[in-house]
Amino acid sequence: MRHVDHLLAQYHDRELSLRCCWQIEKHVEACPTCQAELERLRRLSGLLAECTLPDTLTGPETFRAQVALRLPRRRATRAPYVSWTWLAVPVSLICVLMIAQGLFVLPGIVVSLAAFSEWGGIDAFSRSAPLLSGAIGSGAMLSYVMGSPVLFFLWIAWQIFLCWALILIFVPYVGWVNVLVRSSTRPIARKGESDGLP
Amino acid sequence: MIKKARRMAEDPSARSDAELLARSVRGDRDAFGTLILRYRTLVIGVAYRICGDATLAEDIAQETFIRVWSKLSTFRPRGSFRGWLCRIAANMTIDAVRKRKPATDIASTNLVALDAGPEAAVLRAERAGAVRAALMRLPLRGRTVLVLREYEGLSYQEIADALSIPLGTVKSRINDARRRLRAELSEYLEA
Repeated sequence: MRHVDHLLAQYHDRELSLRCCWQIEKHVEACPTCQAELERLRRLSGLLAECTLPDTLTGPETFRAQVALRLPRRRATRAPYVSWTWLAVPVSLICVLMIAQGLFVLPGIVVSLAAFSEWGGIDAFSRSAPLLSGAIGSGAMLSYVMGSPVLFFLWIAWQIFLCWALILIFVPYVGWVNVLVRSSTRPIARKGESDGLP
Repeated sequence: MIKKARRMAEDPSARSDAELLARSVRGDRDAFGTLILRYRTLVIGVAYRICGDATLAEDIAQETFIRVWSKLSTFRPRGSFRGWLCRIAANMTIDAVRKRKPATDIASTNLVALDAGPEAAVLRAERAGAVRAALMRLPLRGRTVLVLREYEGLSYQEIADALSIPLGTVKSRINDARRRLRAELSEYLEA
């Protein structure tokens, strides 16, 4: 019978896989030598556990206070206070503006571009210009825009421009909300003020 | 019911480590105080069993918490906070022991409870003293690894990470330390 004493320490420390543990358990049941070795390991762990901490240690609260006195002061930082409730205002504003410009602004631009293209002799625009002049609805507008690569590009460019314009409004808004909310909460402890620890 | 839940939420000791850590990182000293209370015994235990001196162990524990406070922003919750603490405590103790020759704190023998009778208490105290003395006679490296395994329950991998040594070295040091201890404490093991 092949002994597994080289694996017993790892088995005792629960460092082996379940399959390996099962094999060792099976072996140990049948092998008195490995059984005795495992027992010695267990007894050693039990004996080591008797070396407890001395009772002369400083009490927990005193220890905490001693550490607190020695903690270096650090500039306190806070997580951003702006919640989704606050963010809902500019986000909804952005959505409304996007829909509005998509429905009402863009058709006008497209019609102008179509007229301009007709004046310049470009067939692709002039062919659809009469249709566009009467189509303010978003469905007809979208189908036209998607059908023309030039207008599609212009449409995307306009959207990007609008998004950036809105971001430039949105970022300072978040900053101001932070300032407003923070000014209404407890200020950060300054030098000389209590930090909460004894 | 709601009041109870609110009280639970306000009670710092009921908060998780992750929450207390997040608050501590933001400079909340109350939250860090709760972490100190929670892990005081662990840190003192690591230091005491490696250096063998209760007073020095408490000093090291204080230094450990101060270092943790100043390094909190660098903590990445990949491993456990407990493992990170053990790592700092063990390394600081090793440094302290190397700097200063340890005066084994024989005087701080445990005041064992007398509920099992005075004779049993004396025997237990004697055994504890023998274990402590045997631990102190182990080489520092082996002792550190054994303490982290036996007393703090760290896995081999956690010990390897904490001490920046290969996994194989952890295994060999644990085996070596146990072999030495068994030889030293054979009288108590066979009794």
